[in-house]
This record gives sequence, structure tokens and C-alpha cells, in this order.
Amino acid sequence: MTNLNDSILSSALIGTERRPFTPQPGDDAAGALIGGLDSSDGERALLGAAAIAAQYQRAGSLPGKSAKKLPEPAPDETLPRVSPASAQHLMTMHNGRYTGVLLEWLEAAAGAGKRAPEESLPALLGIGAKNATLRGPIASVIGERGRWLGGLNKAWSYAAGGEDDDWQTAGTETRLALLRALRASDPEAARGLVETTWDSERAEDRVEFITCFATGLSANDEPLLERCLDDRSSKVRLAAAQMLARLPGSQLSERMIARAGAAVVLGKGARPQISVTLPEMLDEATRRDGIEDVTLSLSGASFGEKSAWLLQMISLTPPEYWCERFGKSPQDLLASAARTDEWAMLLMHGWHRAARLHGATDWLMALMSPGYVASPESLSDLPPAVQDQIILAVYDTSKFELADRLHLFEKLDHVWSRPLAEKSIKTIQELLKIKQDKRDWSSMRTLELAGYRLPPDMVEYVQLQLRPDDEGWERYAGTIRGIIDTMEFRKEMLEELSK
Amino acid sequence: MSTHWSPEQVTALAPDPASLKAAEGLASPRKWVSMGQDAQTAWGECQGSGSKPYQVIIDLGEPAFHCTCPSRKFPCKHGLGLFLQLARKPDSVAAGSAPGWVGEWIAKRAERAEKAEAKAASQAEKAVDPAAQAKRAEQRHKKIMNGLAELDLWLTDLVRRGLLAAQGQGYGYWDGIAARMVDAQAPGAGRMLREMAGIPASGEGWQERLLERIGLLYLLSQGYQRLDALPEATQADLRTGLGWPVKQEEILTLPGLNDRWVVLGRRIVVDEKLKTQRSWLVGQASGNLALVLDFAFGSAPIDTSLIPGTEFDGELVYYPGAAPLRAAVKTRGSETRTAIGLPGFPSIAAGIESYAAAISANPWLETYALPLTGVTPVGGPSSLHVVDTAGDALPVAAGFQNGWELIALSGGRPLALACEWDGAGLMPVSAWVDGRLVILG
Repeated sequence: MTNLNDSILSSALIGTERRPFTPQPGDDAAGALIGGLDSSDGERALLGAAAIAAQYQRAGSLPGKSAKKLPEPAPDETLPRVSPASAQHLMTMHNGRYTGVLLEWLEAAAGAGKRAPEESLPALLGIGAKNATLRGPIASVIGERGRWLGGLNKAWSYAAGGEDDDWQTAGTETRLALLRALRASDPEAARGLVETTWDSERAEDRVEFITCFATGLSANDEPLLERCLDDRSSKVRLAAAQMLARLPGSQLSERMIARAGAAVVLGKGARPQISVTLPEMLDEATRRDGIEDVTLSLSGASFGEKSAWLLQMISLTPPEYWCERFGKSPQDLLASAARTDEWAMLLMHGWHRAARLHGATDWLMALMSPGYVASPESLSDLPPAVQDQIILAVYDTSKFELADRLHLFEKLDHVWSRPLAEKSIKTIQELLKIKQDKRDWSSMRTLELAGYRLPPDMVEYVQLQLRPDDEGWERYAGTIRGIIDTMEFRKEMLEELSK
Repeated sequence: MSTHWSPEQVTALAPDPASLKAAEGLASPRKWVSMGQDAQTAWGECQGSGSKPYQVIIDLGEPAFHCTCPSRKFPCKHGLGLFLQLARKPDSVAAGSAPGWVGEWIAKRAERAEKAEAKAASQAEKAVDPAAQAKRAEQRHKKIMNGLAELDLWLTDLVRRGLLAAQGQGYGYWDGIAARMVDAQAPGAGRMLREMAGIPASGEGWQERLLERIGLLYLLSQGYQRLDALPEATQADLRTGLGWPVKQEEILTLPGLNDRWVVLGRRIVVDEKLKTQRSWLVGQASGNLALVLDFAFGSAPIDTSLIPGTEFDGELVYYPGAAPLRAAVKTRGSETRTAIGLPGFPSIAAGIESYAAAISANPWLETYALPLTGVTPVGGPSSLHVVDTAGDALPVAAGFQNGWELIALSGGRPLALACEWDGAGLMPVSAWVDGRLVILG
């Protein structure tokens, strides 16, 4: 039959005026029909043959066999699927509404030991491909089917883990997850594991492994970290120096204390002066300990060579050293520093960095007062509950403007604890009472965030506190309703997942 | 008898994602001044931006919606929002007796339904002036015959000069003759010609594809010109192929097929401003496929009474043809149940055999349905096909957007898949796996 089709097609393509068509009779039924066509009219014969061929092909087509092998079936699931109502909440977010609630949904579903429905997995995996911070939470709800899909699509390979738990051959994401988990339960074994392949690892991976040492950090880790100070990659050296600086009693921190301590002196008296002597040069040992020959530009100030060196030294020095040595509180030391013209910025930035590196909450709280360099972002490495406590303390003691007080809440990207939540609502009420002709756009951000950060079970409280009869209501009405809608959605969503 | 609707079924009623989003915002009791339900109906008053709240009523049997808001979408966000609440949390809508304005609407509807029935009955009885009807039909027939004569000349011209020459022509080459067919009251031919205009630029294999369509168009033209010599069923197919309209009221006067009908799935296609909804059904006892078409212009309401994954007892009347497929719902029981499982072809071979029989009888059949009870999707999204247990495979159409969702649902194992089939590619509309229906596409 293909021969016939070819002959029809060849005439049809270049036209019967150039290649006349004569219908060829054939053995089968189609051939017989074609043979019966009137050959005197070449065009009509071709059209007729085309019609017969078309029907023959369409009605006679048989399915082919599959060229590809079937994929390995996915393993059976161990977790139950979320309810259809929860799936609907997820779909709502995929369709673009309440998208900021996704992380909360993922964590609640994982906490409830449930998995996302199969048809939602491609969209979830796609989100994880674009947004690395969501990968962990997504991986915890995709179930066996999700991991199976991760193995089929390169873009989702981050989710494919699980199969290959061999340290030697697994991918970076898998190994990091493994290492973090192991450091929590058996830090010695974790270090041992890392040491088996240390020299052959890429620099980026070595840096990541070092950051894992933050969990269960102890003097036993010191030898490996000291060796890293001689690593060929500067990133590795810096990461090791920072980790050693956090290790109380480590030789690096002793060395750094000696260097920084020599440079900073506090005078006597009721309002003591701080005097600072910049280091003259940067010797090998100091470079080895993580001090880089760079200039620094931080908010409000820039630091040339020698100032930058000292700033780095201070940042690697545990902040409690200064309080112990001078017998003063962080507030007092900051006040002394503020009184100098030359050194105020250097000391504040140095102590700020040190406080962040070491998680020194007393220093961070002191640095958050107006005029000092810390901001709510400085707290981001601390546990959420501690962040809330500090913000509450700062809120009550310092004299911030309303706009700044609203901004205090912005960077706390976790669900606010109840006392903090109540504080935020009081601040919003203040905002609503202000008579202003123009909308304050930056305050709106805090309002919009509130819907995602306030504990969902406070929704009735919020409805009572932010009521329509308040005068500022019209201007902010839409946003307030948005907050309440979002809280109700989250409440419903969390209730459904906990069933 | 109250019917229970699941949230997925309600979501499927949304005319577009924007409506669904808006409905979600209204799916909480806070937005409603009042709400209530009884065995057959749900109602509510929703505060909008106007002074009076909008009154919303849902007849739960079909379902059918009514809302006093000015939106032209159907169902509107208020109806959907109320329905979503009812589906998710039935207890949040208090049971009670319907207020006056609800009762009025129900009464009016019942009245209208009665009137429509009476009209249909009387139309069947009333002898529509047969002479006038016949004259109109004769005039149409003449026009078509003239048009087809012209079409034949155009086609012979096309093959005389060759398809390669036609490939070099612009859109006007095809559009001109297509417009003439529409003028000649043969819009079906016009549509085929406009479709053919796109084939020369469609990539590899365009020559074979174009030749096939030319053959079918010629067959249609020749067939119609020999109408009287052909069996009635084929005459009906020829008229349908050319676009001769058939009145649904007339069809509904014919006897139908009683069966338990499962709604397999549906697909909505939009062509400029015309929306066409194809709902596919299968009769459980007869095993017959049925296609119910619904049309809507612009944002006018499209019928929502056939919900994928449900079944009902009813009588469907098939439109005449050699391979009956298109049907209309004549009567329907008040109960709509969730279907258990997807009835369909046990193998791809069985499905293709059924398709082959249909297309042999009616060459101008555009879309068929292949509900396949056990197939596994294989390949990546750009080369997706489904394989049955015998190893036979059919390709999934390139335009299918949810390839990964399909693969995710199957997990490498067979699932039941309801698809449209046009002879070239499958268009899945719904999947049945793990005891639940998932709507695709």
C-alpha cells in the first residue's frame, strides 16, 4: 500500500500537469477500488485515490509497540496521603493565592506524617528546583513517588536521594543531610566520615562540611579544623577560622584574643575612654588565622587596610572576652566606643560581627538600640524564640519611632510567639489611629506580613482588635481584611492537616 | 434525596482559574450574611460591594446556579464560593426551611421546565409547516451543491499545480475558498479548509497529512453530491460533516437509550469566541460511548450538569449517523452518584478496533474517545505515550500539558485513563487511580 501512497504523493506534490497520475489497480480491496477510478480525468483520479488511501490508512492503522522500556515502578508509599481538603489548600496556593503559606503547609504536613497527592508533585518539585530554601521541606512531603520522580527528571534530582546512602557515591545534598543528622547524634563518627574523603573533596563541599561542624562542636574537632587553616582554598580557610573562633578555648581563639586584646585598651574613670592601636602589618600567622588583606565597606562606614584587619580580628574574638577583661557590660562598652570619634564605627561593626558569629544575645540586644548598627536581620541565626525575646526587650526599652518599631517585626520570618504577636497588634492599632493624608507604603509591608506571621488561632482576637470603627480603617481596610483572610486560611489549613 | 458533592467536583465547575481563586476568597462563613440548605437546595446572601447583598441559590440536583450579581461568568464566584463551603464543611451551612426568595426561584424554574417540556411535546405534535421547511431545505441543498461544484474545481486545480506550489501560497489562498464554502452554507467544508491552511507549515510529514485531509474533503464533497444514492445514516453524516445544523429539540423527540451513564471526562476548546465543551459518557450496560456537546459564546454559561466521575440513570438520544456518537440527554434520574471505577476498553487494540469501526462507517468523525482501563505512561513529556499490558502503545498528543502529572499519578504502574483520540494523538481528560478520579488538562 505504501507504494500506492508514494505514487499518489509524488504526483500530488509536483502536480499532475508535470507528473500525470494513472490509478494502479491492486490486489486488495483498496486496490480494486482504485483500479475502478476513471483514469481519463487525472486530477479527479488522484483525488479519488487520495480519498481511498486516507480511509485505508486511518481505519487500518494499528498501534505500534513501545520502543521505550517501562520505568521501574515507584516503591510503595509508607505515609498516608493528605486529605482531599488539604490537597485543595495546596491547589489554592499553586493557583497563586496565599503563596506565602506554602512553607507552613509543608512543615505541618511533614509534622503530621503525611504526603502530598501525586498529581501535585510536579508543581512542588518545580518550586523546589527554583527555590533552594524550600527543598528540605518539600523533600519531606513528597513520599516515595516524589523521590521516584526526582530520579526521572534532572531538574528535580535534588529530591532523588534516599537510594544511595553511600558516602562515597551519593550527591552533595544527600551527604550534607546525612552529615547534619549524624553530627546531631554522633559528632565523632560524623567527623570520621568526612575525614575519609577529605582530601579529594571539592572546595565548595569542604566549606559546607565545615559549617555542619557547628552542631556538636568540640575540642575534638580542633585538629581537623586547624589543618584546614592551611587549605589551598581561601574559602575553606575562612570557614575553618570562623568555626575555630566559635570553639571556646581553641588555640585560634586564644591567638585572636591576644591580637585583638593588645590593640584595644579601656581607660579608667567614670566615663572611660577606649583607645585603639591599629596593627602595623599582617604576618603569616595572622593570615593563617583567617584575617584577609582586604578593605571593608559596611553600612555607614568604610575601612581601609589596617582598620579592616583589626575589625576582622575583633569579629573573630569571642565578645564575652571584652566584658570579662574590662569588667563592663556590653552597653557600657558600646557607650565608651560611641564617645570616641575615630573608633566608634570600627568597634561597633567588629563587635556586631562577633556577636552574630558567636550568638551572643546580650551583645545583640545592646547593639539593637537606636543609633547602633544591629538590626533585626542580625538575629537571623538565633532560634526563633530567642529572636522574639530580644525584639520584645528592645521594643520596650528603646525609643524607636513607630515606623521603626513596625520594621522590627519584618525580619522575623517565623510564626511570632504570642507576646510578640500581641505587641505587633498594638503597634498596628497605633498605626491605624494616625491621621495621614498619604498611605505609608513601608508600613503596609508589615501589615501584609502579619497575616502570615501571627499565630492563626489568634484570628478572632485580631478581628476584635482591628475593627472597622477605628478611624484609619478605610485606608487600610483591604489590607486588614487580607490579614484576616490569610489567618483564616492558615487556621483551616493547619486544622485539616492535623486531623 | 440529597446529593453529596465533593470539593473536587465543585472545583471542576469553575469556568476558569481566576473564578476559582475568587471563589476561594468567598468560601468562608464570614463573607455571608446568611446561609442555609435543605434536601434539594442551598442558598446564601453574600455581601458584595453594593448596598444589598447578592442572593445566591444552588439547586443541588444538577447542579444549577442562580445569583443576583452582575457577573456574566457561570457559575459566578458567589455560587462557587457557597458550593465550596457546602462541600468542604456541610455543617457550616445550617439546615432549615428555604426563605421566600428561594422558593420563588425554584417555583419559577419548575414552571419553565414544564413549559419547555410542553413546548417540545407540542412541537413534536404540531406539524411545522412542512412545505416551508422543505422549501428552505431545497434552497440550502442547491446552494451547497453549487458550492461543492466550485470546491471540486478548486481541488482539481490544487492537485494539478501540486502541493509544493500550494505550500508557497499565503493564508488567503485557503481562506478565500473557505469563505465561499461558508457562504454556500457548507461551513464544515470551510472549517476543514481553514485547518488545512496550517498543515504546510506544520513540520515533518506535512505532505502526507495534507494529502489525507484533501482526500477526506473530496470524499465529503463527492459523497454529498451523491446523497440520494447513499443510506440514510451516511446522509446524516454527510450533512453533519458539511455543517448542516440539527435542532436538539427535534433529536429529543426521538427514542433514546436507557442506561446507567458514567461521565468519563470533558474537554473545553475555545475557537475565537466560541467555547465548545465535549463531555464523554459510557453506558455501563450497553458499553456505548456518547458525546454530549455544549456551546457557549464569549463568557456565557456552559452546561455544568455532567460532572466527570459521576454516574446517573437516564435516557440519551443519539444523533443520526452511521457510527452514532453524539448524543443529547433526554431524561435523567434525580440521583447523581459518584462512579466507582472507569468503564472502558481492556486493551489499546480493543479501543483502536472500536475506533476503526467508527471511522470506517463515518470518515468525517473528528474526535473519538478511548477510555483505557489499564495503561502506563512511558517516556518524557516530549515523547510521552501510553502502553498497555500487551505492549501496544499510543502516542499522547503534543498539546497535552500535564505529562508529568500523568507520570506522577501512575508511578510506573497501570492506571485507568479516559482520553480523546483523533487518530494521531491521545488527549487524556481524566485518570482513575487508587480509587479516585483526577481531572487532567
